[in-house]
Amino acid sequence: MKELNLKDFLPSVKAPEDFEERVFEKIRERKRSRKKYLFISIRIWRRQRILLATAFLVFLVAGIFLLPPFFKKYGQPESRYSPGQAKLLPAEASILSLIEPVDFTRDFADIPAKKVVYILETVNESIVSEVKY
Amino acid sequence: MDEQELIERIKQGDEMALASLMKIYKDRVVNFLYHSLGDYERAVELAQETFIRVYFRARQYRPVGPLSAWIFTIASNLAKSEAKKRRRVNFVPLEEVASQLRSNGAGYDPPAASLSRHLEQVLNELPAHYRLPLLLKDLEGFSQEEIARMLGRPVGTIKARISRARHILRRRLEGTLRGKNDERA
Repeated sequence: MKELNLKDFLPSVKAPEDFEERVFEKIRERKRSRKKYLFISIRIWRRQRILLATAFLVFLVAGIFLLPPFFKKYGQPESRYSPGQAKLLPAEASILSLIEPVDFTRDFADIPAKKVVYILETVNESIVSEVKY
Repeated sequence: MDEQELIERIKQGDEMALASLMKIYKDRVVNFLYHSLGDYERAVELAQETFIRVYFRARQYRPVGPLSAWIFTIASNLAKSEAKKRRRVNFVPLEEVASQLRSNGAGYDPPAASLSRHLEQVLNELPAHYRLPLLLKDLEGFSQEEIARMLGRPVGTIKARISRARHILRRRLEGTLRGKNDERA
């Protein structure tokens, strides 16, 4: 079977008459805008260099004075303990969170049936607290 | 003056050299971009952009391959970016609308014209990663190795894409023409 060749079937189009003129026009336009940007940036640099240097210094000083307190405030991970709890913890303590299953069946064995049992947990700041029934 | 000499002069900012280069390539680049995008106005704009880039980036050209391959690499990259933009905007070229209007309104088309129009339509529906290698191979006559270098893909991938593109084209053309004949009968 003969391989399909697009060249045999597709019509060919040509560039318009003023193709080159338009290209040169665009090239001149781009050269102008490039020169303009270069000129502006050189002029800004020459005239405003003292201002730019001052602005840079201000940023630098602001950075030196403002960044350390910022990192102090937001840089540390948030503690899971309130300040009261934290006081009770030994310094440099490593904390492991434990989940232990609690079986209340023996505790409720002598309570008569059909009675509502409220389990009240303390919400104060001390770590060790008993569960009250 | 040969092409290497032309590009050397373009590197030094010679606009006459660019004009000579455009005389050689402008029709081929416009034709390639027209068939890549299916939109003549946009093809002309992108062909102009291709030569502007040739002018401003002439220093980046390394004479490891033919100059035509470098020019068509720029044109292909522009066509790829345009295809991506169109995918986002869902652009319908005016030619397509005109062609649809013609095919709805006209009674009988000569077979060759009809085939060529269907081919254009089917080609426009092909994804850019199939259409570009096929056009570079069939319209511009680049080798598969050159196309692989131009599009930055392995030769095997390019071979597979060209073959797959031909297969899709043939299948869709057969389907369209069969449908058209059924309508006429």
